[in-house]
Amino acid sequence: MQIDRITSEDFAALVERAGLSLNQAQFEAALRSYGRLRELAESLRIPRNRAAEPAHLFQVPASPHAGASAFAKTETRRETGDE
Amino acid sequence: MMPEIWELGLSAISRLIGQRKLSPVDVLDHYLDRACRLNPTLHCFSTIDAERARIEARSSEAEMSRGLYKGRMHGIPFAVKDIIDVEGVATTNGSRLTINEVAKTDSAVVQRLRAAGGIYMGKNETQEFAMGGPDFSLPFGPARKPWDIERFTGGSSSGSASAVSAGAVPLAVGTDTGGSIRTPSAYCGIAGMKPTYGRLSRRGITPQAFSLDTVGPMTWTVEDNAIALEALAGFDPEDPSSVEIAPQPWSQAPALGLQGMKIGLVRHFHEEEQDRFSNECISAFETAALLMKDAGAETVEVRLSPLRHYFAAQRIIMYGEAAAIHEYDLRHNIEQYGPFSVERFLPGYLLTAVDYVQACRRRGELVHELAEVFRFVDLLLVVGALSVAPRMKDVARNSLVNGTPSANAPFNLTGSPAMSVSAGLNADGFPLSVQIVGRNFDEFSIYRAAHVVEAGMGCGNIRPHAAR
Repeated sequence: MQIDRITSEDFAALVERAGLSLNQAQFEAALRSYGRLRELAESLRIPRNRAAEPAHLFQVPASPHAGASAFAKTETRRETGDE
Repeated sequence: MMPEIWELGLSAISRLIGQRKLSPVDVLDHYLDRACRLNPTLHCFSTIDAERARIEARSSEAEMSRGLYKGRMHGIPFAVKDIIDVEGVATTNGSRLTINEVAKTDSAVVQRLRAAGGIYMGKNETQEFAMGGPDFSLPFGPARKPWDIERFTGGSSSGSASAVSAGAVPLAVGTDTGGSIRTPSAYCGIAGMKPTYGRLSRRGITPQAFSLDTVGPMTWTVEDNAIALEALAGFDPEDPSSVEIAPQPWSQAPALGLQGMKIGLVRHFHEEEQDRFSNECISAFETAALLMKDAGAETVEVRLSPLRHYFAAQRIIMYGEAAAIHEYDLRHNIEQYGPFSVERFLPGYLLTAVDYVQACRRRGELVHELAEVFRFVDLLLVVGALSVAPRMKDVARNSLVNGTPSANAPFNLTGSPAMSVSAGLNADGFPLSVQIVGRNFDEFSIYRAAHVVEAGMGCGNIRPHAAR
């Protein structure tokens, strides 16, 4: 699918996938902006290491009492052979 | 001739209230009278809460009579953008969809201003859900620019900028996801601070994009702004973005000048877009650079990645997050939204998950790049708005995607504190501006530099025609 020549049919499939019901004016307006939107998105694709991670995307919260959970106790018993 | 109360501005009114030379009740009555008189022309308020404000002003006066003075915000009227909750008042978000959604509690920023003695006066008109444009089909607004009511105020904190600029309220609280405090501040000739992401709590504020949203003060002058930030800032465990960090004595910053500071000049942002940024805005940038140098700062050229890279990452993240927030309503109640909003929300639904992740990866790289630059400079000077305010009828619905890259957006992406400060008037008498950007959590240095620009330009006392 070429970005600069997306057909109305292909674009309608994108809108349907998004779960939206657009009237004709809304559909045409979105279609008009689509090429520029793809340009913006494509400009983010620069050569980078596969391991370049958006590390700020998710920060695991500290578990205040991880050692006290039933799951952790079970796992500890398995590892040490304690019953 | 004695100036009227509104001509004094927040800091002078605050001093006079503290000296018991002005009564909070008189101050409020004066601003209420102006707000009610100007609003039919400027559409800057969606709600004016006169009755409750008068009760609070009388209470402030009684507290001061008993010797209880809460500080610089005590007795100062304020308004908030209509996406910010105030107990018992509808948070309309400027939308038919939420026009009757009454907030059960105050937002964190309103709680803080009230605790500091501020008096809630009303809600300022906002572009719909902080995303729409100057839309005449909606219940409120659009707010008008007091310098010329046919021109755009900028958005989305449109009513906030209009009201402050016209002297209808001394402090308005706005929000900024891609420039929504700074652009209207620039167009309306006032001081607008987008603090560091996490400095102010966003609890009780309708989100636009979780990882970009900030809230901050909009005032006539830099000093006014610093006083307001002292009341607004503080850790809030109920906002996941809130950072526990000590405040700074921001109101002391304007007096310090710039001796010994190093300012990075980011000329390449506007040079890359040379046919799109107006010459008068570029001249304002150069004049501000000279004023900073004259005040004792060292200025050096700084080169970052192209403005378009920052802009693209900010836009993709903003569209994706905003689309997630509005997914249910745009699927089921799309007819309730105005045409500007629909057109501006739709791009988010046409992106892929991979687009969003690539934007986040780029964000990480650009955040790192900016942090490296701030190892060598204390502040950045960046061009403000692209031009003076355009005519309202010329604002395109698709300008968020198709328009010129905004020089505000990069600093939502990086989370940096950034301020729009008035930088004189053009030949037609419309405000110009520049943007000053600091290290994370160093709003103090920004206020130092912003005051130098404001004082040097000599525009602190110039008021728009509509304010008269």
